[in-house]
Amino acid sequence: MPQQTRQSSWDGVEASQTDVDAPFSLGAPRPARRLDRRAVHWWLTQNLLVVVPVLAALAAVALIPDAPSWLWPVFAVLCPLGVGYALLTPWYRYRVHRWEAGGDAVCATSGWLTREWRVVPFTRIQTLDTKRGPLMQLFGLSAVTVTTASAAGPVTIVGLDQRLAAAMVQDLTERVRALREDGT
Amino acid sequence: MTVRTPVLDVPNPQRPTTDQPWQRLHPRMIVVSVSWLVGPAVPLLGTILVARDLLNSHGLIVLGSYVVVAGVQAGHEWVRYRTTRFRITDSQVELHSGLFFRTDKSIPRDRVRSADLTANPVHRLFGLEAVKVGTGQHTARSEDEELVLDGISRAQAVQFRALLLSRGEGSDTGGEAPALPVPLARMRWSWARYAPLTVTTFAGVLAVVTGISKLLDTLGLDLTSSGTARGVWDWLSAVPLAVAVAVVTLVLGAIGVAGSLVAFAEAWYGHRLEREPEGSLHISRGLLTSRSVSVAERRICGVELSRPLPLRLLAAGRLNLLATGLGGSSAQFSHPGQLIPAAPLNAAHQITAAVLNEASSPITEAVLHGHPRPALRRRLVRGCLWAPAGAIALAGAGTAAGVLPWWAALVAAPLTAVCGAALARDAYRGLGHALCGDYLVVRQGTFVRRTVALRRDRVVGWTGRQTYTQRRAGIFTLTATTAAGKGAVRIRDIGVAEGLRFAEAALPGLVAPFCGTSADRD
Repeated sequence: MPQQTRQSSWDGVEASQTDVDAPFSLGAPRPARRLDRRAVHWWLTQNLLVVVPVLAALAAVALIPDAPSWLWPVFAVLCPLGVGYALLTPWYRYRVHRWEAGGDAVCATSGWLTREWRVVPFTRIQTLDTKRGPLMQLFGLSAVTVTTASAAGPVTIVGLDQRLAAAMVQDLTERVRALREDGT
Repeated sequence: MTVRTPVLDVPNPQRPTTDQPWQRLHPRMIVVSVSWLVGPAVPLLGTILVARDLLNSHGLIVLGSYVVVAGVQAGHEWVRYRTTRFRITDSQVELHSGLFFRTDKSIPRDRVRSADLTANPVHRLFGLEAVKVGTGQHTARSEDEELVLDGISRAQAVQFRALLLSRGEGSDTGGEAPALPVPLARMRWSWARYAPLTVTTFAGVLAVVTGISKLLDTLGLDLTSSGTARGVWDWLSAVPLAVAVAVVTLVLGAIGVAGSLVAFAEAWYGHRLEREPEGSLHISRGLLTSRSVSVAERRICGVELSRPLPLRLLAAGRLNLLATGLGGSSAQFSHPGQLIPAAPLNAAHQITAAVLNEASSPITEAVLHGHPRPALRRRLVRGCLWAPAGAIALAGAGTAAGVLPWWAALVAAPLTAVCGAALARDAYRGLGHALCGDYLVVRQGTFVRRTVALRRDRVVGWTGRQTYTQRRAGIFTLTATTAAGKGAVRIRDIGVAEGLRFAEAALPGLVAPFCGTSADRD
């Protein structure tokens, strides 16, 4: 089964490479797969859990009789910014975050204002970590971190379906063990 | 909830490992470990002998607590000595230690990247060494797996290192006489002329001045009550301001130069860089604290030539080794990878070539490609907008506090902007990247210009990072991650297409598969 997926993705690679080779103008990496839809809800909950208490506390302080008068303008500015951030960034992130375990490397993109992509070849993978926080468990999600010998280069894919993440880790583990090489 | 799947650490089949006997640290280590107690003991005993009749309850408490501390320390060291055992078996290095909290560490021998010997002056007095065995494996907390044997005899340490690093090189020449190490470089005393030109000199002067004032403060000495100090102060206020400033600068400068020369001599006395017969690099140096670092050849990833601004004016630079197992958080202050002190560029290039086993240094060979104009614009914005803004804020704060006159901000802003513009242009000219044979060469920086030559096959991944402004300008920061040094070589503000082409050329087939047009992939 892994053999087949590898084969098929290799075909895709060949095709896209010949497409692009002519003028050789590579676009930024854009892996094929999106995250689970539930990741949006997870991010949303996370954002609201931070933004709502802060705004509520600010409003509460401003309501105290002898509070400084500049608190209300601050609240008026922060409120739309905070709510906008909390409600909009999850959707934007969902558009940006992508991942793919391709022919011989893992690739993931992330971020919203500052974007990032990371590529790690299978031969350099050292460990595969799956992590599930309480909130992630609530949404049935999982995060996979692929670490290498470099302190600066782990690839983290957050917001994968739990079962998909487990299957991916198993698949990657098998493929890497098959390649088996010193990780540095 | 975290699950970790070590991909490569498949548990080894248990081999019989009873053949190697366990070894202990050297018993003299107990003496070395308690030696720091001698420091406080001398004034304490001295006071007691001189003023025996004045010994009051306060003195007795101090004496008592000293005895208790000494006893506890000695006992602790004795327990450590009794419980610490180590051995090198065919497959791994093992260290067991601790009485109540036992720690059993073991490192597979084929994972050993470096073996460093260090000896502080007390260690040397007793003929002992501390051996640090590093693997260069970064765990999720980005710490090195390492194992330290603090306190084995010198001969044993050298033997230990040779044993650890010779493995797997396969260059055993049978019954022939052991080949001698090939010397690659030695420190020349003429290089000491560059020592005062580093930032640490100024930092050193500052540290000395603040340290002395702190010390005087703690001792409760008031400078104004001292006759000499007042004499100096009176003389300084009597002479014209320019002369006074010149004299103070000269004195502080002299202190800085002297300090940096002393530091240079301490760090670099007896410096030797050599290649051992089994192929590993060996750096040893140090006057009081001797440092000795060995790096197996297969762990060498490249070099970094760093040239702080003053050294750049004199065509000189420092050379650092990039290797797995060197660098990281523990290397912040000890700089184990420093190959040579600040030296003329010619020497640095020669040593680079020798260390990398190449005919000539890839740093000189490489024809660097510049970066696109938006990179200059970003630097100009930083130098001519943000830096003056910061200067105005500082000057404004100074004015508000009443230290500076009202026109300080007006002067500071254009001055910073002019300097900023010059530095920004210099920074832009410094940017460059190239592929040169087996190496990728990257240059960047103004205050410290760094040129890195990194072996292509030591790159373990690529990372691209693009801020909002970079996205608007069509540039990004490409990072080659590696196991050496800080773990990353950054190519800042490279054009998007050019950067991806570069990554693809350096390691073919890695990034391009993910860079297809979006139409056929959605």
